[in-house]
Amino acid sequence: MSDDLENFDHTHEGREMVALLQKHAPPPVDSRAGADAVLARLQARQPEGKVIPLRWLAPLIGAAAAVVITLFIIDGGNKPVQPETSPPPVARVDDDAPRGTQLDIRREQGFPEIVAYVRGTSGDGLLIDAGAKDGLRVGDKLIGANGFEARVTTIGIFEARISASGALSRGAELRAKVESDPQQRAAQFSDFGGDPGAFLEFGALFSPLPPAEARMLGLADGAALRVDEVISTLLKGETPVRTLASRLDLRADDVVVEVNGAAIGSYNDLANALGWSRDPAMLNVKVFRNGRQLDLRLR
Amino acid sequence: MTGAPDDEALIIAAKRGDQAAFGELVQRHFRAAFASAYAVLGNAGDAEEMAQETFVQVFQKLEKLREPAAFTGWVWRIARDTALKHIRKHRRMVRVENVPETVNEDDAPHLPMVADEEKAELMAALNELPDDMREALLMRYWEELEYEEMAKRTGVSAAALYQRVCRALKRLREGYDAKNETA
Repeated sequence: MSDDLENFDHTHEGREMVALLQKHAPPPVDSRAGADAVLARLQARQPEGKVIPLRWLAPLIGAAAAVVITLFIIDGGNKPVQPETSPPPVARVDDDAPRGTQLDIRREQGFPEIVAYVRGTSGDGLLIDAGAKDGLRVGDKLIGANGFEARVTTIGIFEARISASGALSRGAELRAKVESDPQQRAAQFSDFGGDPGAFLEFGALFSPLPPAEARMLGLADGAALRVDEVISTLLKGETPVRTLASRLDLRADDVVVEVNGAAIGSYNDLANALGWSRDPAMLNVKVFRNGRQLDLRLR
Repeated sequence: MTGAPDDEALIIAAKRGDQAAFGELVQRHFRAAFASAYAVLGNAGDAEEMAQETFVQVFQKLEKLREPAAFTGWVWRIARDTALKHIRKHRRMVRVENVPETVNEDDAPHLPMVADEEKAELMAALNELPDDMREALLMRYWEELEYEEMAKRTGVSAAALYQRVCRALKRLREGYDAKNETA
């Protein structure tokens, strides 16, 4: 250690810093109470009753889904609305883009071009009115005129967030070629600077299900996504619109295993599965909630 | 052998599903997680909640921990990440409601949510330290551990930890002074 560092804690400057650190040290904390609270939280997350591993249930899932669908039809889909325990989180989405615009996607082999409108800012990027249903995927590169380049960082069914700040204003037309590179899609999502689990337009934020919890549910590692948060309402202009996630009655801590028959193990799986749902009214989501499997359909 | 079981024994037992062993581990390291979260948040209430959330995550990821000696550093970092995620989440909610024109999180330095200017500058300087330096410094002065205990927990020699703390203290001083000069 160099001389100027030797015993720095005993120098005047060092002692001053130590005193400052101690002055602003956190207050005492009750570690025993903390441990009890942690154990209680873990206990609350344990599934109710014995859970049969999903793979053993595979032949039964179809039959169970059929029963649920039948009941849904008989019931007319009028399930009672669960009372909200807290005010619904509301996210605002700018919607000043010209009405009735549809994407003009010219699918060239492996190199499609999109024409989309910028709907506003969202998170750390821009929101455009092109999404998973149009074939965009997280990680896709958009290449426009004048050297414009952006990445798709978040995918919703109808909209996507792209990593371009300030390059385009709201209402601007974005015409760009789409470069889909499977390697890029498979790369670390953090490289794209976004929150890959944020499916804003769908109305939920997801994260991978930790292996320990997957095992508790009899699932393989990486076989599901967990819902971190549900955004109940999006403001379209001044009109509050309930999100699909909310209408499905998706809830925080639900474990999503399947969407429209497709297994969900990654954000891409989810984006793909939501993209296949051209008609959102046909959404069918299988989740585990408190250890029990449920089929959620739009009501 | 007498006395309390060491961390390694508790980790092995916890991996086998021994709840009491995991509870003991939590109790032993709760203040570390609390301190790590507090260094980010500057708020005891939130830091305590994030410390609890840290150990929920520790439990969920315990199977992946192959080197028990890394447990302490692991807890510090999970607590820090959890606290940062908490801040990001709250920022996001504020941001989408207010819809500012352009926000680039990468350009915005992390600022703890504290009102006291001296404390805010100290914590900003703390958060600029490399992880290993900040952890050693806070173990010594916030957790109030002796170097021998720190060595036992981290697997790093007491002498090396002392050097690390001195370096961290010096760098903290420089960072703090720089903030005061520009203020």
